[in-house]
Amino acid sequence: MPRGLGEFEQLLLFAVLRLGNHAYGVRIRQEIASQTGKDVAAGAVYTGLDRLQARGFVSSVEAETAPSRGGRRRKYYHLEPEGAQALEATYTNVRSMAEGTLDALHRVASEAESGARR
Amino acid sequence: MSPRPPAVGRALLRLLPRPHRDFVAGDLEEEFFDSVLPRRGRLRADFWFLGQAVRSVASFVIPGRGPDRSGIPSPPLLREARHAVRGLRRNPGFSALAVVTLAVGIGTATSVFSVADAVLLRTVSGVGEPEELATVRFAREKDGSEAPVSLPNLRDLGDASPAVAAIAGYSRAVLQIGADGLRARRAWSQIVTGAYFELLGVRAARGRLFTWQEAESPDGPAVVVLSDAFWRSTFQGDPSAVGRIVRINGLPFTVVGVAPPEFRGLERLDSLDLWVPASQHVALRHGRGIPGWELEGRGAAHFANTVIRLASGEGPDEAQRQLRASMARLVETYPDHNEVYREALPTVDAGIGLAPQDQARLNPILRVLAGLVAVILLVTCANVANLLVLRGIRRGEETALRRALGAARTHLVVQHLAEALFLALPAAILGLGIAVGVNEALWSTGLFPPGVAKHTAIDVRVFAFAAGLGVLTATTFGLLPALLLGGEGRRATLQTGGRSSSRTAVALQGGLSVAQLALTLALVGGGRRSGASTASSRRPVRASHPSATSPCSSRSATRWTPPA
Repeated sequence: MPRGLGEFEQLLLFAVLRLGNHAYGVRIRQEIASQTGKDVAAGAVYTGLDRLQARGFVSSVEAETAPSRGGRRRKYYHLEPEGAQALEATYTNVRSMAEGTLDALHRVASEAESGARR
Repeated sequence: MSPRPPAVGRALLRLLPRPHRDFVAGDLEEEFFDSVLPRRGRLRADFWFLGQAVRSVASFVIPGRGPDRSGIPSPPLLREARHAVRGLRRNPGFSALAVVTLAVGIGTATSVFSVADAVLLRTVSGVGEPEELATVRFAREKDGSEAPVSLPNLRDLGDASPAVAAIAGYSRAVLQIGADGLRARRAWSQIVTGAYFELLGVRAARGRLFTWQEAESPDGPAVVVLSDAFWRSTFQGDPSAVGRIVRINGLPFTVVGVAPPEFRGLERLDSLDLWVPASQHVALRHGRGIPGWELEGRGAAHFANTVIRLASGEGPDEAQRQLRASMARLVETYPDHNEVYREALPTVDAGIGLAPQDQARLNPILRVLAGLVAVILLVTCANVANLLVLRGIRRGEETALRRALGAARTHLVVQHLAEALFLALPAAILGLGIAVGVNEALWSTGLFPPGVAKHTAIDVRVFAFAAGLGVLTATTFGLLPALLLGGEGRRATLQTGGRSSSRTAVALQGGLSVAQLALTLALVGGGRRSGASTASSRRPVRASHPSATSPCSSRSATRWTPPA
């Protein structure tokens, strides 16, 4: 059975999907930060996307640059059908498992939080 | 001047593997200029860049540090590593102190390594099979002074010495170059004989190099080969520069080619701008037609430097023996011109990369620095070992409990080793930053020629050295306390809660403190002595051998001469 997707890999794939034709390093980092509050290292974005590309989940193309990049090109990523299927499967699994448990989950999490405060 | 992200951060990003390096660096600079700098201001933007650079490097080099890898089982030793990381996180003060102490030692040693690498170790780039190359000096044994050599003597020496496959002479010159639409500028140059490029295995990147006839015929045409860097900086990389007429010291020369970018000369510290054939030596240096200075004159010793390629299977000793025998015959045949070579005997030094006279002058400086570094590293190691021993005493009960619960001694040693490694890696990265600062301080002393600063780089080789040094020091001195403190029996250790180990530890600590004090005193004493001996010679002086650098320009050149 193929290996599933980790949390960070899901975030990367969702970011690439959300950004459409504008998915390159800076925008992917900013998208994850604005949606989740996670500050990801620029290097980690590429190591993560590298692994996903090796599995055929994303493809990449090098394209135009901007003056502030010192002449360096951008690398744009595109979500491949295999990546979309894997992401959909992982997300569906998580959603099925979560269904009907959210209230309980919230209660346990609140107890843990108030316990930590005491 | 527009601001740039901090140099240390940019240097760190150069450690990333290609092709990721350019994308990560581009992303960070784009974000730095477009959003972080305008919103947070210079100082906070610099810290942001530095933090991102460190984390980006960490995500490539530290396994498990970066993005998650769900589904991959962790190997058993990784558990000890995680235990070690938790242990270090529980004592942030200890961890920070150990990292900073190690970083100072690693940074200083890395700085000296980066200089030694640039001056002594690095392979000369752009040269074919450099292991077959050697330099020849015509040096007097009594005082080491050297004599230049003429083209006819060079030819005869090469022909009569079978161990020498090819021989070339060259002399350095500072020339003035200008052209229509170009402002005249100074160019560091070499005037070379016909075999020069072929002997070194250099091919033209554009156009062509000199033909033998152009180089050695007295009426050869005035042609010039540019270095890649000079072609790019002065002619903006314009392909039509080849074939163009330029003026060198006021005389017209045709640009026939551009050397490949990796070839900058045959010494590591060279950054030559152009090469001119020997046929133009007389015109550039003395004006045409001065009797006795013709290129073909036996006594016209134009070439201060000689390089040879050894014949297949021959060594420098055999080449030297044959060259000396050949030179003895030339002295007998042409006593009027060659008398000087009765004493100035051909001396062959294997390899190229550093002029022997520079090597002789730089060696004592590097030896003093290496000695200081060794002592600083030992003090650092003793300090870290001391810290680890102290921590070992405090953790006696934890160790005793883990052993009583069945932890094998090897597991405890692995945990200590992992802790040492996790201290060493950030220390190596911080040490690189310190090395950059130490290098800047070294250049400001004036002890090194400008070429050293230009060619010294904190690159992958230097990072590998720093990381290796970090691992070596940390493992050596991380294991020592682990082995000594873990030496007690399982039952005795639990009963005494580690107190019997403490006696060993206190003795070890005392020994380490004495060693530290002695080393520090030696360092202070050594530093004062070396400081006094070099302080009097920190000034650039004129070249002691005018032939070594021919000041062909109207302004005579000064050449850096390091302290003897």
